Amino acid sequence: MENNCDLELRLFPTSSYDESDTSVVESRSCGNSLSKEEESQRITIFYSEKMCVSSNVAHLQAKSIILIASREMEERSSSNGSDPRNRLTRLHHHQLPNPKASMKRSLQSFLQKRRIRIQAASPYHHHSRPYCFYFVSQFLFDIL
Amino acid sequence: MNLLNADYNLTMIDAFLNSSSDIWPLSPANRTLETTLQQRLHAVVKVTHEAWCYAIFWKPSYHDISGEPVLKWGYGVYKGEDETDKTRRRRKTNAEEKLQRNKVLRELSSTISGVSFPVKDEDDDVELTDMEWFYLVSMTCSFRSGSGLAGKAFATYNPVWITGLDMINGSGCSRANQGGDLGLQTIICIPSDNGVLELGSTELIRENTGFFRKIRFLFNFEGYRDFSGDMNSSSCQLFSSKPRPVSVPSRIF
Repeated sequence: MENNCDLELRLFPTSSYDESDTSVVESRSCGNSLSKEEESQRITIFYSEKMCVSSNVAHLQAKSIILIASREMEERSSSNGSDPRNRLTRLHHHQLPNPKASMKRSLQSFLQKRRIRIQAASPYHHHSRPYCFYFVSQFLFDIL
Repeated sequence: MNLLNADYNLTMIDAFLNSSSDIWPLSPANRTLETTLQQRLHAVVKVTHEAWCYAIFWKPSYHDISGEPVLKWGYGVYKGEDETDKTRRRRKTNAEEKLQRNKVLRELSSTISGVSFPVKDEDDDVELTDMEWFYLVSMTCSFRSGSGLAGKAFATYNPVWITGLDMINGSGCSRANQGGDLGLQTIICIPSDNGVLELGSTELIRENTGFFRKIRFLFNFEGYRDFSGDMNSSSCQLFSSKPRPVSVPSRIF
């Protein structure tokens, strides 16, 4: 993410920023290791014809902002009725939890049983061998 | 949908990965119903004498944008084929297909393993059989009312019993056709008020009325019509409006 931010900041003209901004960019572009102070970075957001610069935004907060914004965008486009596919996707997520959960449950059960089938079919499965050695050696150690 | 096509693998993984719900979103009451369904499906594959490879219960979903019910995966039990049956024809899977299948299986396992149990890598490398693959892919299938064997059973409220490749290829159901390519020889779909029970086998199992009686016994009586006898038989009184005779206990307090 840092690389992308670097690129974007460089693309836009820096004339609108004061000198302290360019110093932030330079310090970030010098290697991947960031000091504790620099981990909360300055973030610039362009949204709805407005620009907002905020410092001390953690990586997680930035991701949350993007998530909320994209959700808002989705809601706006669906209320305009521009893309019926988005509406269907939203309906799927909110009203159809069960088929997906059913699939996952069945898959879990299938995988568990398959594992048992495989192990039953090949008792000398190479994975089980280390355990054999461990238990045998423990046993020998105890009796000696 | 082509089960043998590599592109379909991505759709399958997509279907699981895009699920935003967690694994156990059911309320306690629903969980009991689900457990009962699971138990019944287990009973069907284990108790009946026929060599069913799998049992699937398709549930209708009424949330489609068209308002039409769509049958989707409810629950499934996989039993597998009789390994000792050498007479059964086997399709040769090429190396690329094997790799693709196991790749899909690994991806699916990893979406689950983060939540509950870790699946060993060695299991994922063991080759998936044709029937296992068919069963896995079925989880992502859905049917509109009247479409496919399950959809037909649901729409007509009559069971569908397909035995033999001729019937399979003439069924008009693409999933059944591909099941046939993968070794299925018998597919049956039995409708109920709650959904459709599907059973499949790599053996030839002829339609028999005794089987319907078994299904009625194993599943909910109210949910299943009596497909074995005529409408005037005594067993049909369960669905009549007359009050059911109540057995009087021999000892009274």
